[in-house]
This record gives sequence, structure tokens and C-alpha cells, in this order.
Amino acid sequence: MSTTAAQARRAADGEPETDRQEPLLLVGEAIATPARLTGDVTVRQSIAVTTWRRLRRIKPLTLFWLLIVLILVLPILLFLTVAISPSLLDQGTQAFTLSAFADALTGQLLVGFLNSLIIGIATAVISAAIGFALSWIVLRTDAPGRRIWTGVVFALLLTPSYLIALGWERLLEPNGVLQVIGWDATGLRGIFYGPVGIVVVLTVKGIPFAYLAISNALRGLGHEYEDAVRVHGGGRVAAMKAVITLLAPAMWSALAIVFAESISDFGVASTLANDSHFPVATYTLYNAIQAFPVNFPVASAVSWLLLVLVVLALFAQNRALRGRSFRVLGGRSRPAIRHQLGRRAKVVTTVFLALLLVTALGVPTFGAVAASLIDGLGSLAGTHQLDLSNYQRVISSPQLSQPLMYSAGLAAIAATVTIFLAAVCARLLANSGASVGGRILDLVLLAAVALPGIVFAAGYIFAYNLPVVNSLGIHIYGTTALLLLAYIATALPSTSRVLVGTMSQIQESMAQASRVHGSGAIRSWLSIVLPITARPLLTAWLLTYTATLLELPVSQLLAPPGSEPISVGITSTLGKYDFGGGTAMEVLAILSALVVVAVAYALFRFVAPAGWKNIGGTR
Amino acid sequence: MTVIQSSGPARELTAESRGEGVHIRGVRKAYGTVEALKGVDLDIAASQFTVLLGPSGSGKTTLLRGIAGIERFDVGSVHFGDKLISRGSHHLPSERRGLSMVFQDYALWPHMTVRQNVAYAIRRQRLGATAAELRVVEALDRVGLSAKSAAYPHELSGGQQQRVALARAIVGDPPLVLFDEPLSNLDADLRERLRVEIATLTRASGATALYITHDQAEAFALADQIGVLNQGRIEQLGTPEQIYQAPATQFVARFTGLGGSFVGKYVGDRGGYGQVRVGEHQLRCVPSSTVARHIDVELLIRPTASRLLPRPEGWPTSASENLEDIEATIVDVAYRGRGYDHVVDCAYGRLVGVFDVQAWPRGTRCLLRIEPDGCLAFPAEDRATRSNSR
Amino acid sequence: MTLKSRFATGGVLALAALTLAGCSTTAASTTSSVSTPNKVEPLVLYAAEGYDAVMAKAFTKKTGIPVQVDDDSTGPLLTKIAAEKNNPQWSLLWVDGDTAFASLDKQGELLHYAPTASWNTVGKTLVPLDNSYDPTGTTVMAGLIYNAAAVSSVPTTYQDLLGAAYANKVGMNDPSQSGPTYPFIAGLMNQLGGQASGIADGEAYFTKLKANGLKVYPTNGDTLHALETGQIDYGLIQSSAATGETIKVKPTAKYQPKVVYLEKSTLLPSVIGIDKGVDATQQAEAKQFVDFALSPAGQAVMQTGDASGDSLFWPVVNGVTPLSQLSAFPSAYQRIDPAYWGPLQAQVVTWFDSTIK
Repeated sequence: MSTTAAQARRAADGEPETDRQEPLLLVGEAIATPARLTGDVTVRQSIAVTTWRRLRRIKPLTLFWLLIVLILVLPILLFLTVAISPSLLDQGTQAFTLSAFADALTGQLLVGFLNSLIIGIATAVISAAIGFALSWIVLRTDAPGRRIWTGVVFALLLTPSYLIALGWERLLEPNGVLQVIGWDATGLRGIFYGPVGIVVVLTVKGIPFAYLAISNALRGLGHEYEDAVRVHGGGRVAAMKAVITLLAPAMWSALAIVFAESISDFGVASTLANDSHFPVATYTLYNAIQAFPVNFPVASAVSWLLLVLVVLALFAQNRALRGRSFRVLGGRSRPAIRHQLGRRAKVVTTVFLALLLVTALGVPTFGAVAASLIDGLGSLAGTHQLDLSNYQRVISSPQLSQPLMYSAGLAAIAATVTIFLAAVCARLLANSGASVGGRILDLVLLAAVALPGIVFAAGYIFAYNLPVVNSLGIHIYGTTALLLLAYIATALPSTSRVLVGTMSQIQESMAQASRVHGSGAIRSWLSIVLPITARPLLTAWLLTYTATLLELPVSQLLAPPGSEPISVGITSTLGKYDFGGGTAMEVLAILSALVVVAVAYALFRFVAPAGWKNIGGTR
Repeated sequence: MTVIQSSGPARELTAESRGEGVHIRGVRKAYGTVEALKGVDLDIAASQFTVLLGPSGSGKTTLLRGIAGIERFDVGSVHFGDKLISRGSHHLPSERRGLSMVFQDYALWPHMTVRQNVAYAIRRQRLGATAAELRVVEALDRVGLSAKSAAYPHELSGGQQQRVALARAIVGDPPLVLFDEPLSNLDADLRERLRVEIATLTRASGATALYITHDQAEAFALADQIGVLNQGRIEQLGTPEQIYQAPATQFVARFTGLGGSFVGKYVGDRGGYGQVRVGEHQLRCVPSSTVARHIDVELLIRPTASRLLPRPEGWPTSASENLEDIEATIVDVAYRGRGYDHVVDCAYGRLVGVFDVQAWPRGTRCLLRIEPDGCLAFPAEDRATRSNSR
Repeated sequence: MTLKSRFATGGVLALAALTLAGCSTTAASTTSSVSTPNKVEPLVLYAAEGYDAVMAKAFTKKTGIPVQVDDDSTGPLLTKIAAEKNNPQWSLLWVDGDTAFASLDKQGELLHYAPTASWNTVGKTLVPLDNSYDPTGTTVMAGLIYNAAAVSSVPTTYQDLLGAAYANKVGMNDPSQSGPTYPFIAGLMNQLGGQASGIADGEAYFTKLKANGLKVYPTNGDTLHALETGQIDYGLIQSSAATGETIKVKPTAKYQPKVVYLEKSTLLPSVIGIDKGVDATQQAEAKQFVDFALSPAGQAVMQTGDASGDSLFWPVVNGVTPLSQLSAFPSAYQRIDPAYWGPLQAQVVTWFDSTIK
């Protein structure tokens, strides 16, 4: 029955519109088609203005969608509009044109797209594979050294790709470290400075997302499924296959997010493929933005094409997950059991972990050491000594402390708001196979990732600096509030995807049973869903916090004049060739975030009730 | 809200007055193009134990979840007593319906201990800590799990988990308890024991109970009233005896247990029973209201209606006047404790579940007698319709 | 999905509250359209100069006018200004290079202002006739920084770099990542072909340079690092960065950076411009700021902000002495016409990226 019919009847009956409830199962239907959505939103907006009492009656889900429209859809759509109607945002004279596409679609761009596609797929697959292997080793085996990996993953998340690239460069360059200690790095350099290097660096950046998404889901998966395979004659490999199949929503989440992150990358590709003539899709976009006057229509046209890649990724995901259920987390799940690794397996996993640690974290750490502990520009060949003068210099500088506090505060608020929104998103995404709304959300979220940050931020300026917005008395552009909203929007896609695995595992009866036994929606959420998902939510919070702390492109475009986020401070220090000072600031910011991570996990360990820790625990 | 308020002081009232009648009118529910409920009316008297019986896809789960408030009916109304629960867009959320429920997958919360799981359901009554604790202990006692109150769900066996769910459902003495196939995940022995506990504990509490299952034995054992659902409609509502002895439709008859079926022609009434000619035999039966003379009918034979007789020497005698006993062969025999179930072949088909206290060896030739009270005549359907309705 | 979504409501409301809070603070701080003569409004300075923050402080101290500085790299600042085009939020822009200003002026975004400064010869070259923007100092592209400990030959012209002595020893920055590098390339194209014959001669020069083993690094810092580590012996970078390196590094037996200027040096001025869109109060304040920057007091402050970087500029006004570490101003210099070379940027950078890099 259509909603309109229901509303008509309600009006006819004159019944009070109280206590309406959305059934859990029907989220998708409730959201309905985009056409209805926008209609709904406009209608709701006008209501919202009138009175508070009426606002209370708006479906909570409608409010959620309204927010999604405001912080994601509107900026993205406005930016995309520039390609076909430059005059609308004063970026040209034509009201409708396709010339931006003609300008963008050069041979180089098409090659770039193919390259980006290959890079994206390779990075996504390798990251997901490593993420899974790591999750398995950390959660399901007694491999030595497994405990440090949560910390390592957050360190990776925090490590800027410039430090990773820098570390590799310092190792491999002519007269670099490897050559100084007597290795000829020429061959390796030829391989690394090009697609291989790009994939390596992007994979290192992709591993945290993959690991967090997959390990969250693996925690919720009891041991009985593996046992079932083993009992029925399947070997260890077959058991792992079954686990991978059950983790499909998380695996695809990881693949999609890493893919989207990779195709939107420009910095890594431009640094590492600098002289190997390996154009990527974003090259044309950056060139259009780099030149002045900035050519937004062309940047927008390239963004349209990036969206095509995202749609392809989502298409693959939906095909793979269609019509399957992955609800395995409920009262009957039992804690998993750790495998006792044999001696050989122990050696193999130790070597794997050590290699991963060295490649992923060792190299950028080396880069950071080279840049920040050595005076000047980090040459090892000279008489430079390792010293802490850069740290002494920046640690007392107000250029570090004020921006760091500002960013840390914003990151904490953004993380707190984001995990709530992300939990709702993840729930919708978990059902995405079944509902139009879920699919649209999926597309919007992934689009936000696939568009380079600077483009996304420009969309924010278009949307919230419109003269019409100002004339309504809303001056939100240039405020910390808008920066915060943009942070939330930027973090929402990856945080949601990290939670998808968990949210698709919770059995619906968990919350239903609470409602049936007398708890309202909010109390049910707080007393049942929150504890069951406590650990993944904590992880998601930390992910958002750490990712937001050092977020750059949005900070650059949207930070209010006079307030400087730490990432902008670091970048402008680096931009003034103060590599030592900039990197020292960066390292200190990273350490501060790692302290937050450590404190958060310690609190969870000592303060959370025993029952919370049962879930996803391992015996 | 009256429903909730009644549950607190209800402990002092008589069992009969505590339950709440449930009245459902014209409810419909569609998922996309699939209609799960096609217009259901149902009345459940206060404190009655009603079982909805139907195959998977019949709509029984949808109906139960709609009553629980987990799902919303598209059309139709639900009243508890004279209180409107759901109609059109007016829809009382689950937590304000004052009921409780036992889930098929138990739905115990993994982060809470057994005691916390049970206590959760009486938070809404805002009892003092001591009073609440007493109620929880009492409920766990009733299901025999007071020793396990500090355990987490994953530390319990399946049967124990479902007992916790049962304790959670009855701890607040709710006026209405819903059961969503609570025994389907348990093994046979546990099912039987837990079924008894459900029956006695629920009846003792005086609550109205609505229980859904696809198992007719479970339904007959539990119910004061059974509703048989098929393809989104209630085909018959009645006492277990009415359902078994006078099924309204072929579907009801088939779904509530058959030994087998023969095809014949209806020839008329005699001595309060119908007469059907099957091959050379003439069998007495209970005709359904739609049966008329000279039409082809199907005889649906309850397992309880067939008996085995020894085949006399020289059978068949040419002068035999016995048109009721059918010559048959024992195909299989299964020991059932109190006796034996046999599978029997005859010229008109195969019957299963033919009981005798003695074992008839496989291959034995015997006579089969059909009792008219368990032999139900329905107009023959073509094959396609029949397989569809199964 | 009531339980999830109710809970979403909480988030939404919290956000709404935040948003409203944000709105109210801005309402207090942003420019209001009605201005009274004596009212002080904060200036919003978008700047990418090492001395911008100290200048803002000094200006506020002198005049009492608060300045909110958005200090960032030139790229993001220009992107921001472009995105704000239909509703500009800045009062002053202060970055290296005049091409962006020429383009802004063409779009009618700049307030023309002739400051009361006494321009020196170089300054007169740089000031546009219509005073649409004003230079506050200048660097040149490129300074040739070389390692005197490793090589002895020192070029005097760009043609010298094509010789065998410089094969595989020269490095420069990537124009798609380094702001000052496009003016350098454009300058050579201007010198070799000029506005009359176009960019072909310049392209031919870079192609030959590439054939002689030119190496391209992302930015000034990377090129300097390559020089320090001996990957190259000659680096073509911005004069201020090159001079800064000679100040920062203690010469050793292996590394002695020195700077020379080849014929011709292309002027890369630091430029300040006023947003036409701001109200009269801010326009007046912005003019005061420009005057302050060009005054001896202001120039002295600029010379303190970033002693081994942006403060190493040559003055464009009389009566100001450049920092002592700077060598004499190169005699052979040129100004390139931003109106001509600005629009060619995307084309040239793309060509460079696919052919030279």
C-alpha cells in the first residue's frame, strides 16, 4: 500500500498521527525512490520551519536523509552541475553546455582512466587480501606479535602518504640509503617509480580500511561455521573459504572503499610516477584546478567520469552480495577459538607480519626519521647528525599546539557524530541489495570518496557560499561548523563501510526482542545494539578521529580564516622547505593520536562490562 | 496504557481475568508484489492458547510479527481487548503493546547474563530492585535454570537458551505471549519436554497465547484453538477435534496428517455416512459439504482410521459379501514403543502410519479396514491444483 | 527502522545545534553590508607568504584593525577564491606571481588602487598601468643553485646548460606541483620565442634540455634534496629558496651550494590585490594594508618573517635594502605579461608533463 493512500486515509479518519513505527525490515521501502525523496525533503523542510511540534512528527529517517542531502548530495551535485551549466555558479557564461566534456576527454584522459582502473582494482584486491590475512592471524591464531597490530594499523592510517613515498624515495634514490650501504637499487627503482610503486603506497594506505572492516566482521563470526566445514570433510582451506564467503559484505566494503580511495588519488601517483609517464584519471582534474583561472567545468567533467568507475564498483558489489543473508551475530554465537599454529606455520606468519611491518610502517618511519631528525633536507651523505633540534623547535611553538588542539577537538566531535550516522548508514548499506534507498546511499557515499577531497570541498563552497544562502541569513561558510560538517561527510563513507560487516551480522531479532519486551527505540538501541556493537563502534570512532585529525584538502578550503587546522600548518611548513619542522610536527600529531587510540582501548578493556567484551572475544 | 497497567497488579487477580483477547480484522500485507496476508480475521479469547498452523510461506510468521508490532499491516485492524492497537497508519510500537515473545532463534542478548536477559523484560514495570530480583529468580526457577543465572547465553545449551527465552517471556506476567516456532531448533526429546513446559507455564500464568508452528503434532498438543493458514488466508479455525475430524478443506485435511488417499466415485449416503465406490470396494466415509452424488472424489484417510486384519484362508471367496476390507501387503514396519507403524500397499495406493500393537512382518498379506470416521471424502481435484495446495 | 532512526534524530539535532551555533558566531564576525564610517571590520587575508602572519600582527598593532589570515599554499587559496566567485569572502590576496591577479582583474574582481609608494626601477616594470594589483617585492625564476664542491663549470646562459658539461646534472621542478615553475617555463618561452612567435622555440629548448638529461623533481625542496645527495649538481629553483639553502647549509668538503642567475631572470613578484566585492570600510582598511606593506616599516617586517625563505626578496620600492645574504639583483631580467602567459598555463603544463617529465 502506498504511503499516500495511508496518509489520505489517516486524514479522512482524523486519527492522531502518533507513535508510528517503522518496521526494521522495511527500511528500504520507507525510503522509496529518489523522486519521492526529494519531494519529501522539500515538504519536510517547510514544515521544519513552521514549528517544533511538527518537527517532532517528521520521520527520523527523513531527517537522516535530509542531513545526507545537505552534507553529501548537495555539494556533490552542485559540483557536478558545473560541468553542464557553468553559469549557474558563475564559473562560465553558458547555461547548458557539454564543452567541458569535450575539453576533458583527451587521449591522455582515457589512458589515465584505464590506468586508474587498473591501479584501483589492484590496490583494492591486494589490500583486502592482506587485510583478511592480517585479521585472521590477529584474531584466530596465536601468532607471536599479533597484539601490536591494532596499534600498527592505526599508525598506518595516520601516516601521510607523503611520508611513505618519502621513505621509499630516500631508500631507493641515486646516492640513497641502499646505495650508500652498497646495494644497487637501480633495478628496484625502475620497478618502484611507476605503477608498482603507486600500488604499493596506496595499498599501505588501504590496509587499515580493509583490516578494520574485515576484522570487525570476523569478530562477530562464531567458530561454528569453520567447525561445520571441518566436520564435513573440508580442509583448512575450505574452512577459510567458508569464512570469506560469510564475510562477503565486509570484504566488498573493503574492496569498494579502497578502490574509491585509489582512483581519487593524485598525490601518490604524481610523486611516484613523476617521470614514468603513467597518467592517472585525476591528472586532468588537478591540472584544471592548478591553473588559474581555475577550470571547474573540466574538473567537474572528470568527476562525472570518476563516478562511472564508482558505479561499476557498486555494480560488482551488488551482483556479488545479491539475495544473501549474513546474519550470524546473536545470542547463539559462541566465542571463537584460536588456532595453535604449528612451528612451520608460526615461522611463515612471523615472516609475513615482519615483512608487512617493515614495508608498511618501517619505510615511512624511516622517511620521518630521515626528514625530521636530520637537519636540512635529509641527506645522509653529508656530515649531518641525528638530533632532536627540530622537535625542540616545534614542540614549544604555538604553531603546533594551537592547531593541534583545534584539530583534535574537531576530530573528536566529528568522530562522535559520525559513528552514529555511520551506524545508520551501515544498517542501510547492509540491506542495500533489497532497497533503493540503500543503493542510493551506497552510491552517494562512495562518490564522496572517489571525488578528490579538493573537489568535494569546492562543492561545499559552491553549496554554502551561494548568495541566496547568505540572503536567507545563513552565514555558515567560513565557520568551524561547516568545516565540521564537511569532516563528518568526508569520514562518513569509510566509517560506514567499516561498520557494514558488523551491522549486516546483527540478527534483527536482537532489537525486536527488546522492543517487544517493553523498551522504546532509543533504549533498545542503547541497551542492546550499542553493547553488541561496542567494540566495532569504538574502532570506528578511532578511525574517524585519526582520519579527521590530519585531513588536508577539506581543511585547506573550508577552515575559517584565523583558525588553522594542524594539517594546514604542517603543509604550509613543508611548503616553506622546512621539511624538518613540518615532519616533526607531523610525527608529534601522529603520536598524539596514537595516545588517544591507546587510552581508548585501555578504557574499553578496564571499564566495559564483561558481557560487552564477550562479543567478538576469542577464547 | 491499560495493557501494561493490568500486568502489575494482575498477580493478585485470577488467571482468567489477566489475559487479553485479540481481535484481528481484515489484515493484509504485501512485500512488493507478493501478498503474504490476503485478508485475515481472527479472534482469540482471553487466556486462550491459540496455535496458527501452516506451511512455510503461509503467512503465519507475518501475522505473528504484525501482532507483535515488529511489522506493520498494510490494511486491517488489531485490537487487544477493546484497545485499538493498529489500524491504518495508527500503529502502536511494540514496546507499548504490553506483550512478550519467544523467538525462533531465541534472541537472547549475548552481552547480558541469563539473569540480566530475564530482568530486562520487567524493566517496564518499574518494580523495586528487590521485587524485580524476586520475580527473576522465580521465573528462572519455574524453567529450572536458577543455577545458571550468572551464565552468558553462549555458555548454555540450545534447550537451556530457549528456557531462558521462555522465562523472559513469562517473567512479567504479560497478558499476551507470542511464540514464533520456539521448538523448531531443538531435538525431538527436548521439544517434547519444552512443549509441556510452555503449555503448563503459559496456562498457569493466565496469559493469552498465540503460537505459530508448521508441526501439526505440536499444534494439536498445545492448542485450545487452531487456525490453519494457507497462502495468506485462514482456511479453518476451530478446536483441535474439529480440525481433525471435520477439516474444512482438502488442504486442512492433508496438512493435519494423512495416511494416504484413494480415488473413487461417490454413490450416496447410508447410515449417517457417505458411500464411495473404490474399484470393487464400497467404503463408508465422512463426506465434505461439497460432495455430491456421482462425482469423482478423493478419500483422505487419517493414519488412525486404518486397521489391519488377518486374511482368512481362501480369500477372496467368490461369494464374499465383504466390500469394505481391502486385500493388502505389508511393505514396512517401524517400532514405535507402544506398538508398530506399518506401511501398507493395496490396489488403490499406499497407506502409511497404520498402527497395530503387534508387528506384521514385511511381505505379509492381510486385510485393510478403513474406519469411516477417519475417512474424509472431498471432490477430486486435478493434480495440478492438489500439488499446488500442498 | 525506528530504533536506528530515532537515534539518528539525536545526531541530526546535535548537528543542527552546532550549525546554528556556527551561524550565530559568524553573524557576529563576518562582514555586514551596512557600515558606519568609524566602525572597524576585520580584514580577511588569503596569503601564501612566509611573512604574512607577522605582517598581519604588525598591521593590527599599528592600526587596531584585526586581520584574519588564511595562510596556505597558493594552489588551494586560488581554488578557494575561484569557488567563491559568486560570493567572495576574502578582502586581500597576497601570493607569489601576477598571472592569477591578471586573470582576477579580467573577471572584474579586483579593486584598482595606486598606493603612495615610490617604485624603484624593477617596481616600475612590475606595476600594472591600471594599478589593478601591486607588487610588494620580487624574487626571480630561476636561481641556478650548484654544488661548487662537485663541479667547477658555471653557466652564464640557458644555452650553456645544453652542453656536455651539464649532461645528466641539471634538475628542475615539476610545474604541475610547484607554483613558481610555470612562470620559469613561460619566461624562457617568452625570452626565446616571445609573444610574437609563440611557445615553439621554448618547447624546442626544453626538449633539448631533456635530451641532455634534465631531471624533474616535484618541488623546490625535492630539487634541493637531489642536489645535496649528488643526484644532480645544478638545480633551477626559485631565487629565495636557492639563497635560503646557502644560508641554512654549512659548507662541507662535499657540498658547497652557490647561486648564480642566468640570462634572463624572470621576475616572480609577491603580489597583493584587493577584493572589489567587500564593503567600503574593508576597502579602506585593505588600502591601508597595502600602503603599510609598501612602507619602509612594513618592508622591514616582511624581511623578518621568513629569514631563510620568502623574506629573501628584492625590494620594489626605493629606500629599502634587501637582506644582506641576497646577491645583487640580476642585471638581465624580464617581466612576462600575465595577460598573455596566464591563459597558456594548462596547455604548457600538460605539454611539459607528457613530453619533458
